[in-house]
Amino acid sequence: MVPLGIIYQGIAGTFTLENLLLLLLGLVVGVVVGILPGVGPAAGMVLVLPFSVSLQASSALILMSGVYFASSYGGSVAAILVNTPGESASAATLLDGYPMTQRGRGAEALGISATAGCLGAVFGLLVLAFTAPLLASLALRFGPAENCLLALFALSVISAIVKRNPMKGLISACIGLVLATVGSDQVSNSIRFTFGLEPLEDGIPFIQTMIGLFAISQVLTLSEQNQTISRVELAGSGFLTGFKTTFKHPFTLLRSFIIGIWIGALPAAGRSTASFMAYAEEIRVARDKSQFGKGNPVGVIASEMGNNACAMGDLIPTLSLGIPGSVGAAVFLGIMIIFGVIPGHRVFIDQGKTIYGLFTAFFIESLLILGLGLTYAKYFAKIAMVRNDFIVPIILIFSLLGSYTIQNSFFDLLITAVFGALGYFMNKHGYSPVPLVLALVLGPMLEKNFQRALIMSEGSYRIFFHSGISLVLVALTVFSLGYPYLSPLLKRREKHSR
Amino acid sequence: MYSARKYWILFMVLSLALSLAQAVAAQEKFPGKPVRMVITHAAGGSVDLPGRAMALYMQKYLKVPVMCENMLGGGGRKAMEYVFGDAKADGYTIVASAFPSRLIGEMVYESKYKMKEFIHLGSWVGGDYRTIFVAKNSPFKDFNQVMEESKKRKINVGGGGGLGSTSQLQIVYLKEVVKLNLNFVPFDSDAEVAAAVLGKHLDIGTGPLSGAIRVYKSGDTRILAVHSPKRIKEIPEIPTMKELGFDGVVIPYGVGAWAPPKTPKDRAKILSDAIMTASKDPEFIKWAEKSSTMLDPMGPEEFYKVTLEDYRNIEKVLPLLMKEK
Repeated sequence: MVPLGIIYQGIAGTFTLENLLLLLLGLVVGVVVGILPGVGPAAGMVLVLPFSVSLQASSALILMSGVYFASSYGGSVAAILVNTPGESASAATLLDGYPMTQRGRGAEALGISATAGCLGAVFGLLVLAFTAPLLASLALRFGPAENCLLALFALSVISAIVKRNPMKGLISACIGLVLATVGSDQVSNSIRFTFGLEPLEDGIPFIQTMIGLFAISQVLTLSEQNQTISRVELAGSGFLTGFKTTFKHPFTLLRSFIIGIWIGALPAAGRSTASFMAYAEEIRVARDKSQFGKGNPVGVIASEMGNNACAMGDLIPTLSLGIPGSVGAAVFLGIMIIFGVIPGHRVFIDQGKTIYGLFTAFFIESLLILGLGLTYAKYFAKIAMVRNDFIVPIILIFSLLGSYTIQNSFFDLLITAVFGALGYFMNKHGYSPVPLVLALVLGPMLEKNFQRALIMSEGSYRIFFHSGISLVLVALTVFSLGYPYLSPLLKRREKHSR
Repeated sequence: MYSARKYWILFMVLSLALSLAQAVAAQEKFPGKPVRMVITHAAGGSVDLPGRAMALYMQKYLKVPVMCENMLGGGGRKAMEYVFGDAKADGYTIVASAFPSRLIGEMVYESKYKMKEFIHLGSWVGGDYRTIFVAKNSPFKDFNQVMEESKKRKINVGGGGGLGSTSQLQIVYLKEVVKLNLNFVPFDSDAEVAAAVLGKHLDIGTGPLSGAIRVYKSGDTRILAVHSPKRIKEIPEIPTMKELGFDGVVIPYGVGAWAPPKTPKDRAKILSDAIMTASKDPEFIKWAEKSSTMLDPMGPEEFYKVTLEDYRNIEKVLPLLMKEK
């Protein structure tokens, strides 16, 4: 147990004028890099790195924490208001956030995003502070076989999503799975499905695809209409409504929180996986699935909760084992090491002051984000009232700029354009992009771990059943695949017996 | 309308004058404008952080900003090809990357760049050798026990990084030179390998010293061997592969900077002097200590010699590497 004195020192040490100003600076940088597509938290942290070299470790980490944490809020603002994922972690938010804006509920969606995000961070922080070593050792039990089954379970939710239109849904999912195989294959070291195009050797880039699929296709649709994004006046639905709406769905919050923290604790999967899985889980358990993708607040709550809980969950293995929980956390780890904070079991004691200072900073930041979301969101939301002929070129420029900046590559613009066309076509013909994106996120996790598991077992499929965790995951998958089709049968029987 | 055009012309003339002035200034003195450092790997990684740290201290001596730019793709090949062929050889574009992995990349993929033709400016990170480690409660107490066990069954070995990485080179050495009977389980990163070892999903893991030392010091793993020429100062208790009886299995890792082949010699010298002075800057050394970055600065000549040496070493195992392709 960590001595209380250290915790107290850490908390108290945060409240100096310098630290609070740094925190605010980090927060502003974070929100800005979040809103801009293509500049993610990693790039943001590296951007402020030169300014922080002269600082003390605790102050520098407070500055970085602002960028690390606030970027996802900025990303969600862009996702909700203009259907542009500011960063990959917010990609799931736009699925229902943007339709909410279209229906004049943009401010409410922003309120939900801030509230659910704040709750995710605060509870995530508590879990991180008190159970990090325990959760980290539990997460280590997930080897390749378990990770493969976890991805399979998450994919099985597609069966629930596509129930209304199985053919179109499965086509969308298959496109996603096929796209997920493009690039180099780790096991055979061969390059597949790139059609000789060198930039595709590293696979289809995710955020560039998302920008095309959502932002560009939306730009095309918007330019056909001489209106505003929001079809109705922003009446009645305000930011406080968003605050209240969030608390009306306690079970969504709980489920998404558990998924977020857990995906975070697993070393291989990051925030976009967490938010998509939380979103998919809500679809799976919902009675009325038809409302998802049409502005269902539950979708926004789930993805935001999953995303922000995961941001804290990612730090569980990062701090207690020195193994980063995601790419963003890897950068954070690198920066911690630069400032001499060496993670491991003893970090909570040896570096207690710095670590608890960091936690305090995260706590203040999540409250500030909540405040920002609840006060300024209504002004942000006015974007949705700007006429299309003004807003469309702006979205177009920022999306393309973002897509280009990530790797400084013109080829990525081509990818964005192609997926823009695909997204537009899918929209017009009633194909949901959700199965595609879900498959694109989970496909590599499924395939790589499947291959790893089989190499380890020398081809024996028994490895997928050898641990208790695996068996539970297999059972869950079978149940999730079969339930949507079994439940009507069961209900009919009940009626008969009556 | 007329006045708008007047302003437009004024603007054009001004910008022309400015760019001319800049060009003249640039001719007089090098460097007269910011230097661009292309980094072959993602922000925040083991190539990026040392690269950015160097840029920060280089600009102190160059007196102009050194701007870092990550150009990702093909495990570093894209950026190397860009700086080799497309970038202007005027000293204002340089590339920072890791060695000898860029060399392996060139040889395995027959890339469009030639490491031997690049102008070697200098290197600062070095001595981050590859290691072999197990979980702390693994049945393997030393590397010989691993070898013994491998006579009975295949050993599951994890490694991060694809073909053309030092990780792959290590696996090929273990398989073909050490003759360890192994199943290679590829992961995306060294971090994932460490996690799979700690969770006892793998028998042994491989990874760079800088990462392995951290997990070792927190008591979660035991390092069985280091692929270094002599024992490491921080962990004198760990034997080298050579001591274990496997000669020629040294796998180094370092970060350095290169300029395009036709860069003027005087400019290259200014750049490499800046790197050498920066790597001796007390503040830079303090940064390296704090971040457990292993410094081993080499000047242009020595750096070039190391490249030639690595080239010969890798050529010996090239057929084995190509077998993996």
